Amino acid sequence: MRVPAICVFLAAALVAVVMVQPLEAADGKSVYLKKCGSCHRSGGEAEVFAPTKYASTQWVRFFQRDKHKRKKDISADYTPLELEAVKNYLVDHAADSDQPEAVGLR
Amino acid sequence: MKRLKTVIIYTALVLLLGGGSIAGAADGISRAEFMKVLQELKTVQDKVENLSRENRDLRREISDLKTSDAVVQDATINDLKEDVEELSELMTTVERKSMMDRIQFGAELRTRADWFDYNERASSSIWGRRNRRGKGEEVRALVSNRFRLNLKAQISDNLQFHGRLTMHKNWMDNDMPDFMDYRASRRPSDNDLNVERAYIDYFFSLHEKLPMALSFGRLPMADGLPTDLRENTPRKATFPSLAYDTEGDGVGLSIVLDKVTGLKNSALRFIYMRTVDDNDMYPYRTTELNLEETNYYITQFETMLPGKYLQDILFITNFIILPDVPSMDLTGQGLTPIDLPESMGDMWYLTFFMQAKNFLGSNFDWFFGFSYYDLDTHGGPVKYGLGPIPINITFNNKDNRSNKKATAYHVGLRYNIPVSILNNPKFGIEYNHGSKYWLANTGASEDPLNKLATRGYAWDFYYIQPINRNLTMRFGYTFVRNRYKMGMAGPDHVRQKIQNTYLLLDAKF
Repeated sequence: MRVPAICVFLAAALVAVVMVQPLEAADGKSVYLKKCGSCHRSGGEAEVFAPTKYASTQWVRFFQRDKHKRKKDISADYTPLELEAVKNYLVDHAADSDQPEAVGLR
Repeated sequence: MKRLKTVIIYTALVLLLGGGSIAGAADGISRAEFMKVLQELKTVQDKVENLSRENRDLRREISDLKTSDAVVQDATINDLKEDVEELSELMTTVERKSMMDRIQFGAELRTRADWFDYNERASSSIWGRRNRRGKGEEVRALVSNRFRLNLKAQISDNLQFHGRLTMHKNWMDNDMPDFMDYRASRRPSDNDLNVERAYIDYFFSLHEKLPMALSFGRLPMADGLPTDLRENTPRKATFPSLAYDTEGDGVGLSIVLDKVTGLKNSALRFIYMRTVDDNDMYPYRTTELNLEETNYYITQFETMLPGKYLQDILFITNFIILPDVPSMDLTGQGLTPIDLPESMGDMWYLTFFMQAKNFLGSNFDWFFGFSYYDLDTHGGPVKYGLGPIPINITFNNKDNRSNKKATAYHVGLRYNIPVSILNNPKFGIEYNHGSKYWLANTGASEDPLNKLATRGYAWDFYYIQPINRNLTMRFGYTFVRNRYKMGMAGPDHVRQKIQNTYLLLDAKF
């Protein structure tokens, strides 16, 4: 099979991008699971919550108003990039986001 | 204070009455000294009286202040009470509306343009001799709209509903509806909304460690894994697409095994589905030689794998059996039935599938699927007459006696380009291969070429560019090389090349 030129171009573009240092280091899901989950876990000091707790706009407002500070100041525990990543993760998986579907899946 | 004043006066009187003896004593104090002490006492008494007065004033002021604060507080409390009552009324209204809105709506609108390029050189054996011919076609910018109305309802704590209504058509075109029920909403036809899925999940538990779910209705079968990668969505179907990717009605039982196996998201699913052709196209046909029901019995086990390096991997094994597949009914096609055996044979599929997203935090998603197909023929061939010419329609083989096996596999990779200024676009490559007798259940594939049904190989490249949270663009190229195609008397050799270049815009909200 002859490889179409577009494929070569796209592959080259992919390689080029891979070689570039990641511009967004923090992985929102990992930070959410590890850092948020250190308190927000069953038997932990804070209640367990899922991203579907709020709709996307509510999550944005939560972070804009730094509502977590009312209960606990966590600014020293997260870098700005990590906070941004967690916010993006929560917004992406908020109650009004596209949810997984399969037979018998809650 | 009063007591202190009394003590001072009493002391002064004592000193006054005892003054003679004091004065008369050899070492006694003089009257002048006594008077001095008395004067000092008087000064003290004045100070005490002043302090007492100031104290009274202060008490009065405090009392006044308290009264004033109480008035202010009462006013504030009343205001707050009014606010709370107003908010409570509002909340009740909102809550009532929320509870009345039993179904939540979501929507998707897709506009896509496809450039197809199709070339074929075929060898057909239907007439008992090889018939070579060639043909080709190019389609420039076939533009279509697809609108989906997604429905969801949390009916009660353990009862939920999902639905999806779809309209799919080419621009300014109003084709006949697709009567193939397994793909009715998946191929462009008319303006109608078709029910692509509508099912209930009832969650219950017979044992605390074995939560279960009973599902029934038009089940979520289309857009099987890994379509979610190409479509950039969460998982949207129950099975891997290599095993089953069509619309379908059925009933299923899911048993969640997390607490038994200790494996995350592990579940065993048993699903029964049935297809039946009662020929709605010909409701008054005199020869009611319909295709009898075809039963699908599907068992699937799925789990996230354990271990630090495998924890991102979803593993699925799926087994489908179709016993006694009925004979093909072509009575409505101008053919005269001669011999229609009740069953043509049995078929079963065994599929393994693995998929990982953001594998080991590398920004790579990947998947691998393998399916094994077995055809067990029994019963004679279906015999029709086309005028005086007899035609044998066999069951995916030439002689309608031999059993056939086939395999197919599907691999792919998607890279999430970590450039936030570009909204983290994605680039994906897929490859699949199907052997000579491969018979896919993928009629409702999102891909218009239905590449997983190929008896050859197919490449797929795509680039996903999120524009914002609700709007996405995808550009892709699919190349399919078919070696065989389905003929009425088994697979026919073909040299078929189909290419599709497409651009689509997706809005979801």
